[in-house]
Amino acid sequence: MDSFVLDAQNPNPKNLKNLLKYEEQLERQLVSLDNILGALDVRNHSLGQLLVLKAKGADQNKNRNTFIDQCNNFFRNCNFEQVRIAPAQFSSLSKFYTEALFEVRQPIRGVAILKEALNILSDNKPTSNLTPIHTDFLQLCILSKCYHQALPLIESNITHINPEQSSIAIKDILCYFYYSGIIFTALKKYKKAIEAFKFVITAPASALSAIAVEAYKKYLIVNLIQYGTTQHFPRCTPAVVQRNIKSHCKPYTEFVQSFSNGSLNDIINKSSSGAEFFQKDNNWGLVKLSIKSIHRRNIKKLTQTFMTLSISDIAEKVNIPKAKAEQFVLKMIEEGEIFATINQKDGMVTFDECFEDFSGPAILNDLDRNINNIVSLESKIKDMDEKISLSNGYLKKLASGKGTQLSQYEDPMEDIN
Amino acid sequence: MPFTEIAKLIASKNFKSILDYCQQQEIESKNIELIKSYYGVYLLSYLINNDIINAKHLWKRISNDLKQSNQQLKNIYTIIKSISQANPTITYTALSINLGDDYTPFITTLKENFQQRTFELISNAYSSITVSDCSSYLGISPDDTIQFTTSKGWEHDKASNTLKPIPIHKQITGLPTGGQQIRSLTNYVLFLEKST
Repeated sequence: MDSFVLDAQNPNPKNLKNLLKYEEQLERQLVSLDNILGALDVRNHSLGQLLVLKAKGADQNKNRNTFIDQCNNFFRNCNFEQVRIAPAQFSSLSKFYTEALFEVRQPIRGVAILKEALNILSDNKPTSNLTPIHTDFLQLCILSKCYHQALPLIESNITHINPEQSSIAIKDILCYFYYSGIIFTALKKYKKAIEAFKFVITAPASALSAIAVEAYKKYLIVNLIQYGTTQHFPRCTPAVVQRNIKSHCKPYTEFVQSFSNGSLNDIINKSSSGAEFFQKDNNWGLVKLSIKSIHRRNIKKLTQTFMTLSISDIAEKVNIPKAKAEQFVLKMIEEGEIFATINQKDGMVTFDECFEDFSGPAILNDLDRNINNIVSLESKIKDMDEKISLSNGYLKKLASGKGTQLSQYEDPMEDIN
Repeated sequence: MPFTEIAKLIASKNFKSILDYCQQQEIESKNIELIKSYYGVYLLSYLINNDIINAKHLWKRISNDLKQSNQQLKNIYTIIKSISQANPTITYTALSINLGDDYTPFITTLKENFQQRTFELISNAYSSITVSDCSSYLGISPDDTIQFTTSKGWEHDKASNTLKPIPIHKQITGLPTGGQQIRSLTNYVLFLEKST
C-alpha cells in the first residue's frame, strides 16, 4: 500500500488519475485504511482520501461515528478539482455517508455538510445542475424533518443533467423528484408536489420501477387532497407504466374511485378497508387529510350555487356540526380559498365574487416574474437545440437519413449553417 | 440574559434574522446543548412569522425527553396547537402565562402580531359580529372591545349587541419604479425582436 500513499502524495496533477487503479486493492485492506488516511492531507491529497474513505464506506463493520467524522472533515476541506476526477467514487461515498447517518439515527448532522457538497459536481450551480448528491441531501432533509432546508433547492428549475460530469444515474433522478414530492407534500404545497410526482411517473421507461409505483400512490392521494379527483395519465407517460402501474396499487385506485361516486360513508369504508396497505406505505396520514379536504371542497361548491346561505344550512349541506361550520368558513376566508362575509346578527353567510381586480402592483410583479422565467427558459432551450443540432449523433443520422425522414424537418441544415 | 448571541437582534425586534440564526445553528452547531436552549425562541420566531407548518415540523424534531421535561416548551406547544385549531381563547390564555423574562419580548410581539392578524381577518370576514365573539378573537374584555372597535369606526348595534366591522383593504406595497418598469418593458421587446 506504500505505493498508493506515494502516488497519492504526488504533487503532479496529471498522475492523479493513476490512483483509480488502486480502488479494488484498497477494499481488501480494510484494517489499514485509517492509517493510510492519516498519512494523507485532506486538502492536497483529496483524491487519495476520497478513495480510502469510499473503500471504508463499503465495510459493513466500520465504526460509523468515526466514519462520519472523517467524512465531515473530508467534505468540508477537500479540493474540488481533485474530487471531480472521480465523480462515481464521490457519489458512492456520499451514499455511504447518508446511510451511516441513517444507521446512527442522526441524519440532521449531515444536512449542512451535503448542502455545501451540492456545489462539487454541479460546477457550483447547484440550483440548475442535478447531481447524485442532491438526492442524498433531500433524503437527509426528509429523515431529519428539516424540510425547510431543501425548499429553495427543489423550488428551482433543474435544467442540466450531465451523467459524464456527475455520474448521475436514472435512479438518482427519479428519487430526487420523488423526494421533492414528499417535501412539497410535507409543506402543504400540493400543486408542486403533484408536478414532482408526475415527473417520476412520466419519465421515459422500458420497465416499471418501484420508485414510480410509490410516486404514483402519493400522486393519487395528493390529487385527492388538492382537487378531490384524479387526473388521467399525462400523454407522455410511457406505455409500460400506464398498462401495469394500477395493478400494483389496487387499494389506492379503489379509494380514488369511491371519491368520484361515493358518499362520505362509502369513502370512509374504503379507506378503512385499505388501511393496512396505507399504513404500511406510510400514506395513512395523507389518506386522512384527503378525507378532511372533502368538507372544504363541498363548502367551495356551495359558493357556486348560492349567493347567501345560513350557517345552519351550510352545516347541514356539508354534514358537519353547526358549531364548526362558522370556523370552517372563517378558516377558508383566511386562506383565500373563498370570498365571503359572515353576518352573525342574521346568522347568514354572503358569498362574494373575487375582490381582486387584477390591476395592482402584486399582479404586475407576478407577471413580470413569470415573463422573465419564460425568457430565461427560452435561452436554455435554444442552447440545448444548438447542442443537439451540432452533435455527432444528430448529424450522422441526418447524413444517412432518407428523403422521407428529412421532410419531417423543414430545413434541417438551417440552424447549422 | 441567556440568549447573548442574538441579544442585538432581539433588541431591534428582527425576528426574521433570529429565525435564520436558529436554522443555521440547528444544522451547523456541534454544541447540542446550545440548540436545545434555543428551541423555544426558534418556535416562537416561526409563530411570529405566521408559519405554523414549519413550527409543527420543528416541534417534531425536538427529542421527546426534552418535550416532556421542559415546561416552557409545553406552553409554547399549546400556543401552536390553539392557533392551528383556530381557538383564540386558548391562545390568549397560553400567551398570558409568564415563561420568564427571556421570552417576554417574543411573547409580547407574538401577541401583538396575532391580535393584529385576527383583527384584519374579522374586519374582512364579518359583516356583523357579536361583541362576545369579537372579544374572544381579540383577547380583550367586552367593554374594551367596544371601545377599541368603535375607535376604528365600527358601529355598535346596542339592540343585538353586535358590531359592524369595516373591511380593511390591503396596503399597496412594492410598486416598481418607473425606471424599473421601462427596463423590463425594453427587455420584453428585445426578447420578442430577437425571436422573430
